[in-house]
Amino acid sequence: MDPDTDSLRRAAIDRSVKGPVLFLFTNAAFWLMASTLMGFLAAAKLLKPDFIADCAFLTYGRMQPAHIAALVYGWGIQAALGVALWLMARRTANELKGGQGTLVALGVLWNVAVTYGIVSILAGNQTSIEWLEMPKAVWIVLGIILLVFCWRILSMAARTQRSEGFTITTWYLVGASLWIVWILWTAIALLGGNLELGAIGAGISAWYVHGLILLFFVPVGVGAAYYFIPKITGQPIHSAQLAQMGFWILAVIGGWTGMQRYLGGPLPAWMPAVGAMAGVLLMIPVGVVGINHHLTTLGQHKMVAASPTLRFTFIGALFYPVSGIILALISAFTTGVNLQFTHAWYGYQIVAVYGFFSMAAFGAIYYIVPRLAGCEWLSVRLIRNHFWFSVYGIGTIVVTSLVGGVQQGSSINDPLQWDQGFVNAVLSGQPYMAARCIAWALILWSNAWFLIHLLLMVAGLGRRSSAPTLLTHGHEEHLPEAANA
Amino acid sequence: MSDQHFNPDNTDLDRLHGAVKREKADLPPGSEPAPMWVMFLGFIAAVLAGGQMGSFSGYGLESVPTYGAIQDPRSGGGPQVQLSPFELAMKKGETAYGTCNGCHQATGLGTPGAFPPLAGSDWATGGTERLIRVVLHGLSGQITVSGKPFTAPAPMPGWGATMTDDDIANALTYVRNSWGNKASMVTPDMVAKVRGTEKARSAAWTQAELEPYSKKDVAGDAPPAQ
Amino acid sequence: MTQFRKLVFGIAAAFAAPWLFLIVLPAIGYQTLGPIPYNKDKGDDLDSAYSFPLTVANLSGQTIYKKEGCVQCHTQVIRPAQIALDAWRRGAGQNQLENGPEPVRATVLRDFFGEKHAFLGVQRNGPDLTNAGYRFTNRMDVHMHLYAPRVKNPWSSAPSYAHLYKERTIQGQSAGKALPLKGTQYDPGHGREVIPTPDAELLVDYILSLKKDAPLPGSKSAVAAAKK
Repeated sequence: MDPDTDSLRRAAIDRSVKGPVLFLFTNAAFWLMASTLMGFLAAAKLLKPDFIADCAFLTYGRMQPAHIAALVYGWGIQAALGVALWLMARRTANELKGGQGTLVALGVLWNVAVTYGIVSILAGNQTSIEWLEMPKAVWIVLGIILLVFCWRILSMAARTQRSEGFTITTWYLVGASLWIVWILWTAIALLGGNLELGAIGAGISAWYVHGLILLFFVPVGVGAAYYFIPKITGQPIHSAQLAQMGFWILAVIGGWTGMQRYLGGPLPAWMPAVGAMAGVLLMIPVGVVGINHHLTTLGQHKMVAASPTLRFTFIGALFYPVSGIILALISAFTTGVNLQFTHAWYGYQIVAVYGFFSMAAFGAIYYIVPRLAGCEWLSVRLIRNHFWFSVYGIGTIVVTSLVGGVQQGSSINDPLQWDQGFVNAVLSGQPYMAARCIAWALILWSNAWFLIHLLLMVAGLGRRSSAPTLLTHGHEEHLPEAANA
Repeated sequence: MSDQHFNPDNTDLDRLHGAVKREKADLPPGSEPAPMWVMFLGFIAAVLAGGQMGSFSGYGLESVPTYGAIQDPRSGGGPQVQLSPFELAMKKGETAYGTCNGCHQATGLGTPGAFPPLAGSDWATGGTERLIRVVLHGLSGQITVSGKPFTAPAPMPGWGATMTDDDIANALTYVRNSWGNKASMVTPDMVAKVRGTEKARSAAWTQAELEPYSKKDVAGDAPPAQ
Repeated sequence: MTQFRKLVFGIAAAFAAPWLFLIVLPAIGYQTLGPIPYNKDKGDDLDSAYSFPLTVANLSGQTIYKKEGCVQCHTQVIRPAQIALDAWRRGAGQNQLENGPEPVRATVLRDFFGEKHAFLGVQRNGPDLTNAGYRFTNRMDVHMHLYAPRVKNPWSSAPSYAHLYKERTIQGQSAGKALPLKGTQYDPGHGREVIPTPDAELLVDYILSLKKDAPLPGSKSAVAAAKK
C-alpha cells in the first residue's frame, strides 16, 4: 500500500473511533480532577480529623474509598478503554463499524453510575469491600457496560486486517479485555449476592484488587508502551522473545496473586502462600518488559526529551519495575509482615495505577488526541507543567507512603512497644501524611491545567499545524525523526 | 475498500491526515534472543518466590500455617514489672469503678442529698460481708454514713446480675483503698461466696438487715493491702 | 485455529486455573463448612461446638461499621504469635493489663462464621478490634471514643462521628445516656447534652460483641502434647 493510501486508511480509522474515545478521555480527565481533590481531602483528614469536623462525608472512612473509586472507575477504566479502542483499531486496521452512538451512550451511563456510586460512598452507603465500595447495583451496571466495550475491542482483534496486526500490543489488549470482564463478573457473582463467605470473601476482594491492577491496568499500559516506544523512536522492539515471555508469564501468574494481602490472617494458609509466591514471581515479567523497553530506547534520549508521549511513556516504564519491586516487598513473608496494614499498601496502589498506568495513559492521550481533534496541543508549558508536577507529586506520594509504611509497620511490630497504644504508629505517620497532602495539592494544580488543555483540544481549539507540539525547541530541523512524533 | 472512505476532499479526513502523515511505519520486533543474564535473574526471583511456599500444611480449607515454636519477643524489652495482686486489683478496679462513678462520682464524694459518699465512709471500709451484699442486691431506705444520716431519693440498684465477681471485687478493692480509705482487699472468691450464700435473695437490703454483717469480713485468702 | 483463537484459548486456560482453584472451589467449599464440636475427651472444657460467635455477633451493628468505613483504619486480624506482635500486644485479648505469658490466639477462618463478608481491614491507623469487647468495660467508653476520641487520646486520628449522635437541650434532668463531655473540647455548652442515636447504640453493641478468642477444639491437648 503506498504511503498516501496508508495515511488515509489510518485517518479513517481515527475518525471512526473519534466520538467514543474523546468522550471517554474527557470524562476520565474530569474524574481525575475529582479523585485528586478527594485524595487531598482524605490525607488532610487523616492528619487533622477535626478539620471541618461537621461534615459526615468528609470523614476518612468515606473519603478514602471514594478517592480510590474515582481514580479507578472514573479516570482509570475510562482512560484505559479509550486507549484500548484506538490502539486496537489502529493495530488491527479495523475501523469501528457503527455503534459509536451506543458506545457514547454507554459511556454516559458509566459516568452516571460511577457518580451515583461515589455519592453513595460519601453519603454513608458503602460496602467496605476494597475497590468495590460502591453499591452492588453499580457493579452490575459497570459489568454490563464493560461487556459491550470489551466485545467491540475483542471483535476488532478477531477480524485483524493486516498480517502485522497480531503484535504484542494486541495480545496485551486482548488479555486486558478478557481479564477485566472475567474478574469483575466473578466478583459480582460471589460478592454481590447473598452468599456467605466470611474471611474467604475478604480474600476474594483482595484477589479482585490485584487482578484489576495486574491484569487490566498493567496490560493496557504495557500494550500502549509497546506501541508508542517503537512508533516514535523508529526503533523496533529489542527482542520479540522477551516480549512474549513477559506476556505469558504475566498471563500464567497474574491470577494467582492477591490473597497475600492477608498473610498470617484467617484464610486457609496455602492461599496467602501461593499469593506471596506469585507476587514475588511477578518481578520476572515486570523486569523483562522493563529491560525490553530500556534496550529499545537506548540512545534515544534526545527524543524522550522532545516528545511528550515518549516522555510520559518512558517515565511510566520506569515506574513499572518500581511497582513490581514494591509488590514483591509487600508480598514476601519476611518484609510483608512489616508492611501489612500500613501506608505501603496505598503506595503500591498509587504507583501501579497512577505512577505506571496513568503516566502511560497520559502519553497515549498526548499522541491520540491531536489525531482525533485535527489540531495540535496548544502549550508546551502546560505539557511540561503537567509532566513535572505529576512526576514529582506521584514520586513523593509513593516514597512517603512506603517509608511511612515501614515506620508504621515497625512500630506496630516493635516488641519494645508491646504495651503502648497506637501513639507512635499514629504520630510517626504525620509528616508523611502532610507530604501526601501537599503532593496531591500540587498534582491537582497540574491536572486542572491538563483538563483545560484537553477540553480546548476536544473543542477543536488547538494549534492548526502539521508540526507536532514538542517539548524542546529549535531542534526540529536537525532531528527529522523528532518531527514524526 | 470503497472510494467513499478515502475521499481526499472530505475536510475532516484532510485535517486528520496531517498528523497521521508524519507517523513512522510499523516495524516488526527484533529477533534478539532473551539475554542469558535475564534468565539468571529470573531464576533468582523464582527461588525467592518458592521460599514463600514453605510454612503451611494441607491444601484444603483446613490448611494451617506451620511456624516454629512460640517465643515471647517481649523479653528483653518493655516494662517487666510484675504487678502484685493488690496493684493489679487497684488498676482493674479503677476501670471497674466506672460503673459506679455515675452516682458516687470519680472523687468518691457522691452527691449530697442524692448519693452517699464513699470517701471516708464506714460502709466502704467496714465489714466486707455487708459491703458485698450492698453491691450485689442494692440498698434502700435511710442509712447512717460515718455518723450522719443520709436518705437517698431512690434506692441503690443491685449489680449482681450485670457485674462479674472479678469486676465487683476489683471495684471494691479500689473503693476501700482510694480517697484516703485504707482497708483490706476484696477477692473474687469472697464475692462468689456471698453470692452463693444469698442466692435466694433478690430484694434490696436495708440498714437494719445488714447490721449483723457490718463488722464481719468474708473469710478468704486476701493478701494484705499495701 | 486462527492466531486470535489460539491466543484467547491460551489466556483462558492460564487464568482458569487460579480462578477455579483459588476462588471458585474454596467459595463453594466454604458453604459446606460446619462448626467443629468440642470434645471433653480431648481436654476441651467447653460444651457445644466451636464457632464464633458463642454469643451472636451483633450483625446490625456491623452494618453501621461497614457504612462508616471503619475498615480503613481498623483491622480484625490477629496474626500468629511467631510472625508478628499482634498476639502479644497489651489489649489484644482478654488480659488487658497483665503481662501474661500466653499470646492471644490468632484469628482463624471459623472466627468469621455468620458474617457475610469479613471486614478484615485495610490499614492500622488504630488498634485491632478482634477482641475489642474486652477493651471497654462499659458502653460509655465506646460512645466517648466514637464521639470524642481526643478526650482520652489527644494524639488519636479517629474522626468524631457526630452524625451518629444527637445534640439537644437538656430537658429536666440530664439523660442517663448523655455523654460526659463537660470541660472537654467537645462540650456542647451549658444546658445542652449529647445522646447516642439508635445507630450508635447498634455500633456499640457490635464492638462490645467482638470477642474472638474462644479456644479452638483440641487446642489444649495440642499444647500439652507440645510441652511434653
